Amino acid sequence: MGTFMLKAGETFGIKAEMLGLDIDHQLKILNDLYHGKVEFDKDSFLENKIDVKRHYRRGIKRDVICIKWVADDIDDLKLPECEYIAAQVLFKESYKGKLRTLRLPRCLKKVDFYTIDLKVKYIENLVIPPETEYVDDNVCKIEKENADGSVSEMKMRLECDWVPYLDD
Amino acid sequence: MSTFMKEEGKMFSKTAASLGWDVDRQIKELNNIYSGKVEFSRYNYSEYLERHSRPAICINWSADDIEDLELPECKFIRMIALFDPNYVGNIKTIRLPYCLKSVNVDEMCSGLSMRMLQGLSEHFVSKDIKLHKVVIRSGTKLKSVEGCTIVREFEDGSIKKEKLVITQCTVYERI
Repeated sequence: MGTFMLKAGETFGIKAEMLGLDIDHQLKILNDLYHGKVEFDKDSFLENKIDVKRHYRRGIKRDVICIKWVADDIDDLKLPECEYIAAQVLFKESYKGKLRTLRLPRCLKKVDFYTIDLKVKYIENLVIPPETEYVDDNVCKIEKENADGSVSEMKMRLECDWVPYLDD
Repeated sequence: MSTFMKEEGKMFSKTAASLGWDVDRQIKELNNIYSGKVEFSRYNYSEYLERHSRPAICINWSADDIEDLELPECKFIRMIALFDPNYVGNIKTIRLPYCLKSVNVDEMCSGLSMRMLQGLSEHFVSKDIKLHKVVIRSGTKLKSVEGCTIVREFEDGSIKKEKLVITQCTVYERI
Protein backbone atom coordinates (compact mmCIF):
# COMPACT_ATOMS: atom_id res chain seq x y z
CA MET A 1 0.00 0.00 0.00
CA GLY A 2 1.57 3.32 -1.08
CA THR A 3 1.33 6.77 0.41
CA PHE A 4 -2.08 8.33 -0.06
CA MET A 5 -1.77 11.94 -1.21
CA LEU A 6 -3.73 14.28 -3.42
CA LYS A 7 -2.12 16.61 -5.98
CA ALA A 8 -4.64 19.25 -4.97
CA GLY A 9 -3.41 18.95 -1.39
CA GLU A 10 0.12 19.91 -2.40
CA THR A 11 -0.98 23.35 -3.60
CA PHE A 12 -3.83 23.81 -1.16
CA GLY A 13 -1.94 26.18 1.15
CA ILE A 14 -1.07 28.64 -1.64
CA LYS A 15 -4.61 28.66 -3.05
CA ALA A 16 -6.20 29.14 0.35
CA GLU A 17 -3.88 32.06 1.09
CA MET A 18 -4.54 33.68 -2.29
CA LEU A 19 -8.28 33.45 -1.77
CA GLY A 20 -8.06 34.51 1.89
CA LEU A 21 -10.04 31.50 3.11
CA ASP A 22 -10.77 31.23 6.82
CA ILE A 23 -10.40 27.97 8.78
CA ASP A 24 -14.02 26.86 8.33
CA HIS A 25 -13.87 27.40 4.60
CA GLN A 26 -10.55 25.54 4.33
CA LEU A 27 -11.99 22.66 6.35
CA LYS A 28 -15.00 22.41 4.03
CA ILE A 29 -12.84 22.38 0.90
CA LEU A 30 -10.42 19.81 2.34
CA ASN A 31 -13.32 17.52 3.22
CA ASP A 32 -14.63 17.89 -0.34
CA LEU A 33 -11.19 17.13 -1.81
CA TYR A 34 -10.56 14.07 0.39
CA HIS A 35 -14.19 12.91 0.34
CA GLY A 36 -14.54 9.18 1.06
CA LYS A 37 -10.89 8.85 1.99
CA VAL A 38 -10.12 11.25 4.84
CA GLU A 39 -12.34 13.42 6.98
CA PHE A 40 -10.91 16.46 8.74
CA ASP A 41 -12.36 18.36 11.66
CA LYS A 42 -11.70 21.53 13.61
CA ASP A 43 -10.08 21.49 17.02
CA SER A 44 -8.10 23.88 19.18
CA PHE A 45 -5.27 23.90 21.71
CA LEU A 46 -3.71 26.37 24.09
CA GLU A 47 -0.34 27.59 22.94
CA ASN A 48 1.87 28.57 25.84
CA LYS A 49 3.48 31.94 25.81
CA ILE A 50 5.96 32.46 28.61
CA ASP A 51 7.02 35.91 29.72
CA VAL A 52 10.42 35.12 31.24
CA LYS A 53 10.89 38.53 32.85
CA ARG A 54 7.58 38.49 34.67
CA HIS A 55 7.56 34.73 35.40
CA TYR A 56 4.20 34.74 33.73
CA ARG A 57 2.60 32.15 31.51
CA ARG A 58 -0.56 32.42 29.48
CA GLY A 59 -2.29 30.21 26.98
CA ILE A 60 -3.43 31.50 23.62
CA LYS A 61 -6.19 29.51 21.93
CA ARG A 62 -5.25 28.35 18.46
CA ASP A 63 -7.69 26.73 16.04
CA VAL A 64 -6.40 23.86 13.95
CA ILE A 65 -7.54 21.32 11.37
CA CYS A 66 -7.02 17.69 12.38
CA ILE A 67 -7.85 14.18 11.18
CA LYS A 68 -11.18 12.76 12.27
CA TRP A 69 -11.54 9.67 10.13
CA VAL A 70 -9.48 7.76 7.59
CA ALA A 71 -10.74 5.02 5.26
CA ASP A 72 -9.65 1.50 6.20
CA ASP A 73 -7.56 1.05 3.03
CA ILE A 74 -5.29 4.00 3.88
CA ASP A 75 -2.39 3.26 6.19
CA ASP A 76 0.05 5.91 4.94
CA LEU A 77 -1.17 9.48 4.55
CA LYS A 78 0.54 12.66 3.41
CA LEU A 79 -1.21 15.63 4.94
CA PRO A 80 -2.15 18.55 2.68
CA GLU A 81 -0.20 21.81 2.78
CA CYS A 82 -2.40 23.84 5.08
CA GLU A 83 -1.55 26.63 7.49
CA TYR A 84 -4.01 25.26 10.06
CA ILE A 85 -2.30 21.90 10.47
CA ALA A 86 -0.23 21.79 13.66
CA ALA A 87 1.79 19.00 15.30
CA GLN A 88 0.15 19.81 18.65
CA VAL A 89 -3.23 18.42 17.50
CA LEU A 90 -3.01 15.98 14.62
CA PHE A 91 -5.91 13.71 15.53
CA LYS A 92 -9.37 14.36 16.87
CA GLU A 93 -10.22 12.63 20.19
CA SER A 94 -12.79 10.51 18.35
CA TYR A 95 -10.34 9.58 15.54
CA LYS A 96 -11.07 6.35 13.71
CA GLY A 97 -8.77 4.77 11.17
CA LYS A 98 -5.94 2.35 10.54
CA LEU A 99 -3.17 4.85 9.81
CA ARG A 100 0.34 3.60 10.45
CA THR A 101 2.36 6.39 8.86
CA LEU A 102 1.56 10.09 8.85
CA ARG A 103 3.62 12.49 6.74
CA LEU A 104 3.56 16.10 7.88
CA PRO A 105 3.24 18.93 5.33
CA ARG A 106 6.30 20.93 4.25
CA CYS A 107 4.62 24.20 5.22
CA LEU A 108 4.92 23.22 8.90
CA LYS A 109 7.74 25.46 10.13
CA LYS A 110 8.55 23.74 13.40
CA VAL A 111 7.81 20.52 15.27
CA ASP A 112 8.53 20.45 18.96
CA PHE A 113 8.97 17.00 20.48
CA TYR A 114 7.75 18.46 23.72
CA THR A 115 4.33 19.37 22.39
CA ILE A 116 3.59 16.73 19.74
CA ASP A 117 0.04 15.39 19.90
CA LEU A 118 -0.03 12.48 22.38
CA LYS A 119 -2.35 10.60 20.06
CA VAL A 120 0.55 9.86 17.68
CA LYS A 121 1.22 6.86 19.90
CA TYR A 122 -1.54 5.13 17.94
CA ILE A 123 0.50 5.27 14.73
CA GLU A 124 3.91 3.79 13.97
CA ASN A 125 5.71 6.50 12.04
CA LEU A 126 5.53 10.26 12.02
CA VAL A 127 7.52 11.59 9.08
CA ILE A 128 8.93 15.09 9.41
CA PRO A 129 9.99 16.76 6.12
CA PRO A 130 13.51 18.21 5.79
CA GLU A 131 12.29 21.81 5.64
CA THR A 132 10.69 21.54 9.07
CA GLU A 133 12.74 22.47 12.12
CA TYR A 134 12.67 19.72 14.71
CA VAL A 135 13.18 20.68 18.33
CA ASP A 136 13.74 17.95 20.88
CA ASP A 137 14.78 19.77 24.03
CA ASN A 138 13.35 18.83 27.41
CA VAL A 139 13.54 15.12 26.78
CA CYS A 140 15.45 12.45 28.58
CA LYS A 141 17.14 9.65 26.65
CA ILE A 142 16.58 6.10 27.85
CA GLU A 143 19.20 3.53 26.91
CA LYS A 144 18.21 -0.09 27.24
CA GLU A 145 21.10 -2.55 27.23
CA ASN A 146 20.06 -5.68 25.39
CA ALA A 147 21.18 -9.20 26.24
CA ASP A 148 23.34 -9.35 23.08
CA GLY A 149 25.25 -6.26 24.17
CA SER A 150 23.51 -3.89 21.78
CA VAL A 151 21.80 -0.76 23.03
CA SER A 152 18.36 0.45 22.05
CA GLU A 153 17.50 4.08 22.53
CA MET A 154 14.27 5.76 23.35
CA LYS A 155 13.25 9.21 24.28
CA MET A 156 10.93 10.09 27.05
CA ARG A 157 8.83 13.15 26.90
CA LEU A 158 7.62 14.86 30.01
CA GLU A 159 4.24 16.42 29.66
CA CYS A 160 4.26 19.29 32.06
CA ASP A 161 1.18 20.46 33.78
CA TRP A 162 2.00 23.68 35.53
CA VAL A 163 0.17 23.85 38.82
CA PRO A 164 1.10 25.66 42.04
CA TYR A 165 3.63 23.82 44.16
CA LEU A 166 2.47 23.40 47.72
CA ASP A 167 5.11 23.56 50.41
CA ASP A 168 4.58 21.32 53.45
CA MET B 1 33.83 12.18 31.91
CA SER B 2 33.84 8.47 32.80
CA THR B 3 31.29 6.57 34.84
CA PHE B 4 31.68 6.86 38.60
CA MET B 5 31.19 3.52 40.32
CA LYS B 6 32.41 1.73 43.42
CA GLU B 7 33.42 -1.93 43.50
CA GLU B 8 31.78 -2.24 46.94
CA GLY B 9 28.56 -0.98 45.38
CA LYS B 10 28.33 -4.07 43.17
CA MET B 11 28.34 -6.44 46.15
CA PHE B 12 26.34 -4.18 48.44
CA SER B 13 22.99 -5.93 48.04
CA LYS B 14 24.41 -9.35 48.99
CA THR B 15 26.35 -7.94 51.94
CA ALA B 16 23.30 -6.08 53.24
CA ALA B 17 21.08 -9.16 52.89
CA SER B 18 23.53 -11.48 54.62
CA LEU B 19 23.98 -9.07 57.52
CA GLY B 20 20.27 -8.24 57.73
CA TRP B 21 20.67 -4.47 57.54
CA ASP B 22 17.53 -2.32 57.58
CA VAL B 23 17.08 0.69 55.29
CA ASP B 24 18.65 3.21 57.70
CA ARG B 25 21.70 1.02 58.23
CA GLN B 26 22.06 0.60 54.48
CA ILE B 27 21.96 4.39 53.99
CA LYS B 28 24.67 4.78 56.65
CA GLU B 29 26.89 2.17 55.00
CA LEU B 30 26.33 3.57 51.50
CA ASN B 31 27.20 7.07 52.71
CA ASN B 32 30.43 5.68 54.18
CA ILE B 33 31.35 3.91 50.94
CA TYR B 34 30.54 6.90 48.72
CA SER B 35 31.77 9.51 51.21
CA GLY B 36 32.77 12.80 49.56
CA LYS B 37 31.32 11.73 46.22
CA VAL B 38 27.64 10.84 46.64
CA GLU B 39 25.25 11.20 49.56
CA PHE B 40 22.13 9.09 49.88
CA SER B 41 19.04 9.74 51.97
CA ARG B 42 15.73 8.10 52.84
CA TYR B 43 12.58 8.88 50.92
CA ASN B 44 9.18 7.46 51.83
CA TYR B 45 6.83 6.90 48.95
CA SER B 46 3.37 5.40 48.61
CA GLU B 47 2.25 3.08 45.86
CA TYR B 48 -0.97 4.00 44.11
CA LEU B 49 -3.98 3.40 46.41
CA GLU B 50 -1.70 2.19 49.18
CA ARG B 51 -2.10 3.60 52.67
CA HIS B 52 1.31 2.75 54.04
CA SER B 53 4.45 4.34 52.76
CA ARG B 54 7.50 2.36 51.68
CA PRO B 55 11.09 3.44 52.19
CA ALA B 56 13.45 4.10 49.29
CA ILE B 57 17.05 5.20 49.14
CA CYS B 58 17.59 8.21 46.91
CA ILE B 59 20.43 10.50 45.91
CA ASN B 60 20.63 13.59 48.05
CA TRP B 61 23.88 15.12 46.84
CA SER B 62 26.66 14.37 44.38
CA ALA B 63 30.06 16.02 43.95
CA ASP B 64 30.37 18.57 41.15
CA ASP B 65 32.78 16.39 39.17
CA ILE B 66 30.31 13.48 38.90
CA GLU B 67 28.15 13.57 35.81
CA ASP B 68 27.79 9.86 35.17
CA LEU B 69 26.89 7.61 38.10
CA GLU B 70 26.38 3.88 38.36
CA LEU B 71 24.05 3.20 41.26
CA PRO B 72 24.96 0.50 43.79
CA GLU B 73 23.13 -2.82 43.83
CA CYS B 74 20.58 -2.13 46.55
CA LYS B 75 17.02 -3.38 46.93
CA PHE B 76 15.84 -0.03 48.28
CA ILE B 77 16.69 1.85 45.10
CA ARG B 78 13.46 2.57 43.29
CA MET B 79 12.68 4.30 40.03
CA ILE B 80 9.89 6.23 41.69
CA ALA B 81 12.33 8.05 43.95
CA LEU B 82 15.75 8.33 42.40
CA PHE B 83 16.47 11.85 43.59
CA ASP B 84 15.67 13.64 46.80
CA PRO B 85 13.54 16.76 46.19
CA ASN B 86 16.44 18.80 47.61
CA TYR B 87 19.05 17.11 45.44
CA VAL B 88 22.13 19.16 44.55
CA GLY B 89 24.62 17.99 41.93
CA ASN B 90 25.51 17.71 38.26
CA ILE B 91 24.44 14.18 37.39
CA LYS B 92 23.46 13.88 33.74
CA THR B 93 23.61 10.13 33.24
CA ILE B 94 22.35 7.57 35.69
CA ARG B 95 22.96 3.84 35.36
CA LEU B 96 20.43 1.72 37.15
CA PRO B 97 21.47 -1.32 39.19
CA TYR B 98 21.17 -4.84 37.80
CA CYS B 99 19.07 -5.91 40.79
CA LEU B 100 16.18 -3.75 39.57
CA LYS B 101 13.70 -6.31 38.21
CA SER B 102 11.49 -4.03 36.17
CA VAL B 103 11.10 -0.37 35.31
CA ASN B 104 7.79 1.22 34.60
CA VAL B 105 8.19 4.27 32.42
CA ASP B 106 5.34 6.06 34.14
CA GLU B 107 6.99 5.39 37.46
CA MET B 108 10.30 6.54 36.07
CA CYS B 109 8.67 9.70 34.95
CA SER B 110 7.48 10.58 38.41
CA GLY B 111 10.88 9.64 39.79
CA LEU B 112 12.56 11.94 37.35
CA SER B 113 10.09 14.69 37.96
CA MET B 114 11.92 15.47 41.17
CA ARG B 115 14.95 16.22 39.07
CA MET B 116 12.90 17.95 36.46
CA LEU B 117 11.24 19.99 39.14
CA GLN B 118 14.56 21.40 40.11
CA GLY B 119 15.45 22.13 36.52
CA LEU B 120 12.17 23.75 35.73
CA SER B 121 11.86 25.83 38.86
CA GLU B 122 15.31 27.23 38.21
CA HIS B 123 14.58 27.67 34.55
CA PHE B 124 13.81 31.35 34.92
CA VAL B 125 16.85 32.24 36.95
CA SER B 126 19.57 29.97 35.67
CA LYS B 127 20.15 27.36 33.01
CA ASP B 128 17.91 24.34 32.89
CA ILE B 129 19.61 21.36 34.52
CA LYS B 130 18.22 17.98 33.74
CA LEU B 131 19.01 14.32 33.46
CA HIS B 132 20.15 13.46 29.94
CA LYS B 133 20.31 9.72 30.02
CA VAL B 134 19.01 6.75 31.97
CA VAL B 135 20.71 3.41 31.33
CA ILE B 136 18.57 0.33 31.97
CA ARG B 137 20.28 -3.06 32.30
CA SER B 138 19.54 -6.02 30.05
CA GLY B 139 18.04 -8.03 32.91
CA THR B 140 15.59 -5.27 33.78
CA LYS B 141 12.17 -5.53 32.19
CA LEU B 142 11.01 -2.28 30.66
CA LYS B 143 7.30 -1.65 30.82
CA SER B 144 6.34 1.18 28.57
CA VAL B 145 3.68 2.46 26.27
CA GLU B 146 4.68 1.63 22.74
CA GLY B 147 5.06 4.96 21.03
CA CYS B 148 5.43 5.98 17.40
CA THR B 149 8.71 6.41 15.58
CA ILE B 150 9.76 9.89 14.59
CA VAL B 151 11.25 9.72 11.11
CA ARG B 152 13.33 12.78 10.35
CA GLU B 153 14.08 13.37 6.66
CA PHE B 154 17.16 15.39 5.66
CA GLU B 155 18.02 17.45 2.58
CA ASP B 156 20.55 14.86 1.36
CA GLY B 157 17.87 12.18 1.36
CA SER B 158 19.05 10.45 4.50
CA ILE B 159 16.67 9.65 7.34
CA LYS B 160 17.03 9.33 11.08
CA LYS B 161 14.60 7.31 13.19
CA GLU B 162 13.99 7.49 16.89
CA LYS B 163 11.45 5.83 19.10
CA LEU B 164 9.09 8.02 21.00
CA VAL B 165 7.94 6.97 24.43
CA ILE B 166 5.09 9.10 25.53
CA THR B 167 4.37 9.47 29.16
CA GLN B 168 2.69 12.07 31.20
CA CYS B 169 3.62 13.46 34.55
CA THR B 170 2.93 16.51 36.56
CA VAL B 171 5.73 18.92 37.24
CA TYR B 172 4.93 21.36 39.97
CA GLU B 173 5.91 24.95 39.73
CA ARG B 174 7.20 26.52 42.91
CA ILE B 175 5.67 29.95 43.34
